[in-house]
This record gives sequence, C-alpha cells and structure tokens, in this order.
Amino acid sequence: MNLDVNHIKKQYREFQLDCSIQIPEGRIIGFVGPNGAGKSTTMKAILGLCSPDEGQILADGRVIEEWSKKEREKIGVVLADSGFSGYYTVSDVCRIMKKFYSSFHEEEFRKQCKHFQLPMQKQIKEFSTGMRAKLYLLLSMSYDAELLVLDEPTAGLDVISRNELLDRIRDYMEPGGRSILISSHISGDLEGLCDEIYLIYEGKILLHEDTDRLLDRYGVLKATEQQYEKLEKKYLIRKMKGTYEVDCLTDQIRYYRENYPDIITEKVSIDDIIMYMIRGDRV
Amino acid sequence: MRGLLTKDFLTIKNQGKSMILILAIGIIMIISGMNKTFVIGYLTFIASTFAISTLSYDEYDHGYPYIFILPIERKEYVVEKYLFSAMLSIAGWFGSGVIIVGVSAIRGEQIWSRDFGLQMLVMLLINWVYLEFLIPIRLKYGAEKGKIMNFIILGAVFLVAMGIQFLMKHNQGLLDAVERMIRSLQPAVACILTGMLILAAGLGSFCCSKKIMERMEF
Repeated sequence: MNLDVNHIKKQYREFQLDCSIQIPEGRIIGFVGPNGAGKSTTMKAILGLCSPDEGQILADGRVIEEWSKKEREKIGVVLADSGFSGYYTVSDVCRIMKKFYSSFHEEEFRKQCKHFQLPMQKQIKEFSTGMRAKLYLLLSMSYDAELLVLDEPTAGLDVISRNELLDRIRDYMEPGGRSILISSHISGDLEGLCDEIYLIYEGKILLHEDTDRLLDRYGVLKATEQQYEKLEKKYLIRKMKGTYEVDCLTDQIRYYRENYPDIITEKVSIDDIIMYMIRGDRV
Repeated sequence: MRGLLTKDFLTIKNQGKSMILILAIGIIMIISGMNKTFVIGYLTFIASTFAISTLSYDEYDHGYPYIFILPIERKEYVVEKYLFSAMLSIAGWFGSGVIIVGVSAIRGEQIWSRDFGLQMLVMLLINWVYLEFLIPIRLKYGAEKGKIMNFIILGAVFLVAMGIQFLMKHNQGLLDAVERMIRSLQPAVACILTGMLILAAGLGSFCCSKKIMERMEF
C-alpha cells in the first residue's frame, strides 16, 4: 500500500502540525523526534482519530476517510498509550478480533503468544509494559494488514524480545505489497530496520533521508574556531559549540575527510543527528 | 457490529460475580415479599447500568483510540451502544418478570393481571427514558464527569418538576385543565402518544450521541 500524507495541518493552542510524509509500498519508514514533536498526532491523523484542519491523506490514491470497513482491515496499528480494556484476557481478544477481521489468523496468533510467553487467560491489566507491547505488536501483524502504523511498538521490551520482534517486523514485509510507518525512541531499532527516516520537530519535518545515506554520508566535524573559519560551509547542515570548540553536522563527510585531513571526523548515529538538527544552529 | 457486540458481551461476562450478586439480591427481594413492580424496576435498572458500564470499560486506560482504529464507523459504535443497552434492559426486565411469576406460581399466588402487565411495561419505558438520557451524557463527558453531569441534570429535572407542582398547586384552573385533558384521552391514544414521545426522545438522544462521537478527537 502507498500512503501519501499531503500537507496536513492541525492547530492545538500553541502547537501547529504541518507535515507531509510519503510511505511507498515495500518500504519501512522511521518517524523520529522528541516528545511532543507531532509524531503521535500525525499517526492519529492517518488513522482518522483526529481530523486535520487542512491537507489530505491518500491511501493508494484514495482519500482515507472514504475507505470502507473492509479496506480499513488493511491497516494494522500499535498505539503508544491505548489498547483493549485491561479487563479482557488474550483469549477474549482473540474472540473479538475474529469478529472484526475476516483474515485474522487465530492459530498463528496463539502460537506467537505462546512463543512470546503471553498467558492466554490472564487479564491484560496484569501484564507488564513489555508484555502489552508484545501483545499489540503481534495483534497488528495477525490479519495480513498492508500498512502498519506502529507508535512506539518496542517501548518496555527487553533486548531479546525487542530483537525477536524487530525480526518479525522485517519478516512481515517479505510477502510484498506492504509498508510500515514506525516511531521509536530507541533509534538503534530504526537504524537496523528502516529504509527511510523522517525527523519531526515542533510539528514540522526537519529532515527526510534514506537510512543508508544518513549512516554513510552524515558525520560530525570537530573543528577549532580557526579550522571552522577556513571550512567550506556548503555541505554543513548544523553547528554546535562542543568539546573541540565547534562541532558541525555534514551530509558530505567524505568530502571533508578528503579535503580537510587535519580535522577530526566522526560517524553519527540517528540520535546524534536528531540532537544536532534540533539543538544546533543553522550554518 | 458483531465485533462490538461480542466485545460488550465479553465485558459483561467478565463482571459475572457482580451480576450473580445482583441477581441474588433480586431473588431475596422477591422472596421477602417486596413490592414486585419495584423489584422489576430495580433489576431492569441494574441491567441497564451494566450496559452503560461498557462505555466506562471502553474509555478505561485511554481505550477509545484503539476501538476506533478497528474497522468500524463511529455511527456504528453509537448504534451498537443503544442496541446493546436495549438488549440488556429487556433481558433484565423479562428475566425479573419470569422470576417473579415463577416464585409466585411456586407460592400458589395469583400475580398475572392486566395491571401488573401495565406496570411492567411502564418500568421498561421509564428505563428506556433513563438510557436515552444517560448515553449521550456518558459519551460527551466520560465516566467521571458524566456522573457529575448526571446529578446536575437530574437536579435540574427535579427543580422543573417542583416548579410544575408549585404552579399546579397555586393554579387550580390549570390543574383541572390538565386533568381533564388526561382523562379525555383514550387509553390507546395515551399509549400511542407515550410511545411516540419515547421514540422521539430516543431519536433525539441517538442524533446527539452520533454527533458527539463524530466530533470526538483522540
């Protein structure tokens, strides 16, 4: 499924969301940004939980509000702070899901629950945060949805379960025709999973880049004031006062390595890029 | 719709112990010889309260957003709530009627009469009015604020009723005119008028609830 979030705007008192995202078929899109940046609001707008003041959301070329119930079965969701009533057991949830989703794979879902040690007869309110995260992630992948919208799906998971579930997400893409939008505070998850990353801050998209390009071409220069003055500024994106006086984020790290061999350069993680993009000054 | 109904029936099933307790209290009330119409009203009201409680369970722990990412329309959610409430209230009403008639039969008492049937019907109708009033309030204000709003509105209704009573007391002419009008109505006409009023109130209540849900953002 192709999803096109086209200039959606939403005003909440002092916060304004103004955002465009493309989620092409076969791609996993990472959505990062600090708390309150607009990630959840964007995801809720995609899911019809809040209506944008302007803009439109197209799924395979059609406005998403016009989708029939059958078509809505094509969306799988994990919400950061919402789920079924805690008074249900996983068995209850199975019975409910069977009625809502014609292609719910109950047997496979029960097998996965057993594998991830989710008790079928225990009420969800007695689950740990990690157990809930496992449950909702497994549920979202239990009925052949073509688009997964996953808001903080790995929050509260231990390293082993997290890696296993990330593998499950990767495997989920294998049949083709599927796409995923995922947000996470654990950027390591996104580095290994996503094809593209969108960085949102104060309701606006600050950066959109292929993950490989981000990790391969982006880097930090650690220059003294004098070195900074002599630098070619064309490829510098942000600068910050750091340990070596001026730290600069660039998307052409090779250029600086080749042309300024005396300047220290470092590779960056997605966390570093977020920090530079938000805390740094424009060059 | 089937999914929503299944969800709500499971919610009720999970309250099994409370339901058994309520049923036991009802049976004790019947055996101890309490007013039978009151017992029917009480059990029907409790059944409706169980139905309304599904709204609180849906809302519990930020549950609404997750419900509305399921393949349902908001209007369908509202329709299901009215349908489920009607189903449960009828079950409570019918069940309590059957128990009362059964207990009376065991005791060899003659209970079934036209008057008793009419009283039962009135209890069901009063209960529906209660539901028609409560559902939009619960949807608009949620479980906590909804309770407060409930009291405020009930207080306002009480004040209006007191006002009308005061007016009637101090205006004998008006009282006579109303009495004459009521007495002049044929029972069938009165029934149809009451039915139409309840239906109109139900329609109004449903439209309000639908609008509330359609406008709700999460």
